[in-house]
Amino acid sequence: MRNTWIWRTLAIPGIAWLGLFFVVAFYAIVSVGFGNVSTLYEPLPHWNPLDWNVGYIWLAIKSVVPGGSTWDSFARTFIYVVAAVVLSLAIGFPVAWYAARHAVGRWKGVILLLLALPFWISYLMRMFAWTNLLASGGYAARGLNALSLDNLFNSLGLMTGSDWLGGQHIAVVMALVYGYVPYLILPLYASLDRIDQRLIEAARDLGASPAGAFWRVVVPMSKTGTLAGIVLIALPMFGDYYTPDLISGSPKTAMFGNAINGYVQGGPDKAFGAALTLLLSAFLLLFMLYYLRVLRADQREAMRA
Amino acid sequence: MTTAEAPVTTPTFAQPKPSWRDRLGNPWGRPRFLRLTTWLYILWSLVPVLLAIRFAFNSGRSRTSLQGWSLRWFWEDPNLSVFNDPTLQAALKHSLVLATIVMLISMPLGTALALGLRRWEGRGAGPANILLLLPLVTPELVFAVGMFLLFTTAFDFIGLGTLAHRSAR
Repeated sequence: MRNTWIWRTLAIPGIAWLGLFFVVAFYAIVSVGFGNVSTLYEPLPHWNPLDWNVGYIWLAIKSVVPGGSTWDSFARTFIYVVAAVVLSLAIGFPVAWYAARHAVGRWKGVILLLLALPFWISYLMRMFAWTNLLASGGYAARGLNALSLDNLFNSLGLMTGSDWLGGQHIAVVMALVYGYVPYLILPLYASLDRIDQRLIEAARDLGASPAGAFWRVVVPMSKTGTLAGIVLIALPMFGDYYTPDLISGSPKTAMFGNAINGYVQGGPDKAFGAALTLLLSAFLLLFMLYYLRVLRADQREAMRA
Repeated sequence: MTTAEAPVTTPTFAQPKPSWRDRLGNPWGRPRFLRLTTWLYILWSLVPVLLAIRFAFNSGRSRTSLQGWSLRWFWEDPNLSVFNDPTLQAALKHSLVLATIVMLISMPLGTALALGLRRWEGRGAGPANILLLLPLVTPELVFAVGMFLLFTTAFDFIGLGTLAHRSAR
């Protein structure tokens, strides 16, 4: 493109906005986390890296290792996210596969529309819908108890009592799945839809069993899309605090986000909250870098094609 | 060529009844299981929200059982309906105003950024692309903590109260 300055000028306002509200905002976390507090426990950010005080970071690191004060919520968050991602894949992959490979004609459009519909409904609205249904006496609670699923989960140790909104791990994990699975299905659909049907047919013609064709053609070809989809739902889940708040509200199911939210919004120790946020970001950075690499490789491939 | 008159016979391969594995995996077969899963998923994803909408038209106070239709919670109730409760009205107005402002800012900004990044090649394009993707993979919470601390420490002249912050989410 010859007059590249036009495109650069178009991009600059957006870049500046992101620079101000993303990069500078992140630097604010760094400055508060490496800062100090006043006698009134108001945070005193240290904007100059030479003045950084590692005290709060050190406290935060001590709190997330086993035995520390936030270790429980950190470990719980990790288990919730892994369980929710596995369940989301179990639900999302067949759905995306059906939409990409088997839905035909007008029905394909209808199914895609219905799969995209949750995007246009606020996340909070979708969670509140479940609080209606899972409240004691609600339709879902009555149905689940009639199937004695509460007894089943009780005997498996995943639930205590029969109040679905009373701090149940299983309810929070199901709510996470419900909330995030649409965001997994669409990238999965996109990557499965791109696979050439003839490659699967060729594998079958050359003697692969259906399962063999699936494992040796479909899985490798959709690997990047699947991993990108997993990262796309797992990262926000690690910062989630409103789902456990709405679905249980009990400290028994508090996630790492609840700890951060408590310190930053309510508690006196905003600097400690900022330090926890930095630790979470550092932990997630690995996943982010991986996602960015996959995506850029994908883009480059798409541009070459 | 000489057997042109021979009757056409269909190949006599044994046609076993397809096993469940074929049904699951065969890309030419009829995937009943997959179709069922998909439609169950769609029902699961939408019915709770439809029921929540239905509860808005309930005539009773319950949010767990249906008690007949009414517009009580919209304007008929003199105190508790959205139309008659000043706090709910203020909240609704806030949401509409905020959504409008956000739309007016983000649409031109985002469209220009998308157009620009698609065509812009050369120095700076790579970092700009990464900057665009970072918010997508950053948990909202990290983003929000950053903004909150930015507004309360660096830009504290804006005076963002706790109330305004809470109603933003």
